Amino acid sequence: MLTVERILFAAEHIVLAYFLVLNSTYLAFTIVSFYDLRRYRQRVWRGDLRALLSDSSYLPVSILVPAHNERGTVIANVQSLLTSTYPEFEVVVINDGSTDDTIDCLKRAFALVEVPPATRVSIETKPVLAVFRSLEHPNLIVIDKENGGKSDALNAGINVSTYPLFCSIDADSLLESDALLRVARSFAEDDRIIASGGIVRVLNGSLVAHGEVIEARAPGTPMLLCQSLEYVRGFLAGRTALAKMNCLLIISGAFGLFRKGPVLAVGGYRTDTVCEDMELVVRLHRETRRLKQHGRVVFVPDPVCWTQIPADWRSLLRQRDRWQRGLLESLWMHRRMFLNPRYGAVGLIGFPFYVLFEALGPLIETAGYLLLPILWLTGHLNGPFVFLFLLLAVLFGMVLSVTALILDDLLFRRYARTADLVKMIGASVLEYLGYRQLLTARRAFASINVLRRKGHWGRIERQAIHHTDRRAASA
Amino acid sequence: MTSASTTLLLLGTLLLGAIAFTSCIALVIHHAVSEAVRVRRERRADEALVLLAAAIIDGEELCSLAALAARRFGGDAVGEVLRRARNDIAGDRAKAITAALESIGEVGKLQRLASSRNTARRRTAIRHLGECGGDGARDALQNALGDREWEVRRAARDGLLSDGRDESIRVAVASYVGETTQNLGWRRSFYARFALVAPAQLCGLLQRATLNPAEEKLAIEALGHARSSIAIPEIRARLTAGDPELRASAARFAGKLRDLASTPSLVQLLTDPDWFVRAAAARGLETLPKTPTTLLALGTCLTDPSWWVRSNAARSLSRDGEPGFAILRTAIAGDDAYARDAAYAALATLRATTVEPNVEAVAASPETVATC
Repeated sequence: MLTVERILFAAEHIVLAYFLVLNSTYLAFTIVSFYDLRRYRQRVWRGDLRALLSDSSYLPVSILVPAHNERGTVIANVQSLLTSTYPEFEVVVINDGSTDDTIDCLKRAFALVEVPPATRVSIETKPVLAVFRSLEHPNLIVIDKENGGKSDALNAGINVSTYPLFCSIDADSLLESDALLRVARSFAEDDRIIASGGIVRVLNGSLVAHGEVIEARAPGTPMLLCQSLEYVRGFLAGRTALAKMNCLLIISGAFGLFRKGPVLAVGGYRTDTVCEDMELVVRLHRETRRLKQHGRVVFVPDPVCWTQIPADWRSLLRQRDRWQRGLLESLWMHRRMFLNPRYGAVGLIGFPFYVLFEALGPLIETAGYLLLPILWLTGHLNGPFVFLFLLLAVLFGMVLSVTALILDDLLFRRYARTADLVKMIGASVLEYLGYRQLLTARRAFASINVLRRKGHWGRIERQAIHHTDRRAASA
Repeated sequence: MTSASTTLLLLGTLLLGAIAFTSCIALVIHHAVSEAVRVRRERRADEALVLLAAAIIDGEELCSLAALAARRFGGDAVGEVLRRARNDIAGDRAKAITAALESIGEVGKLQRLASSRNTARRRTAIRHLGECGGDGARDALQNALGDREWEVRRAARDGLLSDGRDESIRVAVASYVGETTQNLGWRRSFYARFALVAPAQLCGLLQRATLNPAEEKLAIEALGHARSSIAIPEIRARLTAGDPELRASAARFAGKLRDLASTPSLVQLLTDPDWFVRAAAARGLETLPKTPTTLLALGTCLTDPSWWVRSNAARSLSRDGEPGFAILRTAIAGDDAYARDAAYAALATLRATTVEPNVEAVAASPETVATC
């Protein structure tokens, strides 16, 4: 009986200590982010952007748009991309074996003609069936290829692209017209940068016209609001701080700009992983450090990519399951970097952060929830203490969320309506009333599924380009 | 858990609760108030613009109208409208706008802010002074070159360059040369602005050979992007520079500026030991008319070990009508897979945009399946 008590005592303290360390880390990140973002905001001003528009020291960019059964969104997306404000760019749409009429829609909309597939095959991909060019837009290329998943499609796009930078965009996302200019600015400023990511914001609920967001609005349902809040917190507080220390391990697949040379040197995207964006960034860190090239991966907070998020629980849970498996998979593949001083800040800060808080977090948090009924059954539950602890957790989370919202509002002000901001603040409380617990449980479940394979990842289900049953935000 | 822990937790909860509550309230109030202020300011600026627009473009009474608008809509709104207008307008009208800005006290206000202890205020004031023009603003900008903050110094340099007067440019360049903080993007931005407002002075700087190769490269790029034809002699001179990156930049921009006299040097650079110089030379030749020697040299580049050189050479050949097509067709029918690939890519691009019948015929041929 004494042993059980000791175990419960130890478990309680582990959960408490974990909670303290986790939240203190996030708080520290938020403070770092605040100073960094403020500095960024002061540096980049209207006049700068005007000067930069006339300054063609920008490297030309190939925008890669993998599309699988995207007939509903791909035309608007490509039209929006073709109107980007950027000195020199091309748009490469990769039809990844769509079973609907995506390719026919593209042919009709952009007057495509087939050209011989003369490409430099730097990365092996599934066969390319045809390459099309537009008679109306000389900078539009469309590739029709056999289905091989998003990574394979991106690799095919890299092969066909002609410029030294490439930008991966989801076919159901919208880029702000100056987003490319803003994200590429970092490459013009620093030759060591190998990858740069912009912020991904939630499109659901916003007003869209002609492929452009004309008014940002908070989504309507609590579930979407909670997701929206997660995006703001994750990008503005988490990624800014990690990028500041050059140990950012994720550039969102929805919007990331990469230098093509280093990506080709590491063999492009891996096709046997479900989280190809993170895996590529970790591999880039690993290889550049191994070769002592001191490449940098940065996060730029103002270029915005608007994306549609899952609007139903099933899609959301599936998405989080995939993210968790992808995270664990990437970390496992590059486990040698863990606490390895050879990899600098990535090995000593970034990697342990993702292992302790992102990979193990759901397991520890779920264990904490499971501990409660056990403590109650064994008569060790201190009711007032548990209540206060849970309240403290909610308040801590709320403070972190509100701080991220303050950062967002002071520096970028996306929501013009105060009601939207109030909704977002409400979401910082709402997310603790079931939303967070459900997602944590699903992520823990995904982790257990992966771990049960005893270190062997097995065959991970290859997914075509991810789709959720998404509701169009607004006409 | 002991009661002491519970008490500690209670205190922590109360503290966090107070912080969370206060933050939420402060955020909402700040948002509502600042949004209202922003909307009001924008509305006032719009109204001021309506009143001033005609006078800004062509009107004698700009100063008096600006004073009237400042009384009606506030100095900040009018100042913003006039500064923006001055940014887009040059010549005598710019001087009239500067006079109006001085008459409504905008320059004086910014001068006071430029000596503020708050760095953000100083920086903003210096940026805005850079948009105002005039002697008063220039003096303040020159003073700001000695500021302890490098961002303020940078804003002052940019402002002086925009001012465009010889003395201002000389002072800005001297400050840039003595600057210890060197960020590649800002260096590029400095030269871009310099090349736009005073290309002759920048050429003079290149002529005196006072810059190191890295700086010369940035200057050449800036002049090339600005399409300053007066830079052609300087660019041509650097086609034989010792630094390969400088040679490559010069090659690229000699072509961009369509300097016919550079053709022999560019052809020579097609055999440069550095691949990026060869690639830049092939790219540079794209816009220039090609002699048989040039065509032959570009045709040889189709078998270059570097993909970029092959690609750029094929692209150059495809831009020159039948003589270039003939070489590309020969390459397509040949045994060299690399040459075939490059030629095919160039012709394929061309076919999509112009539908060249000869290329159609070549493309239809079973022998010409591209391989890599």
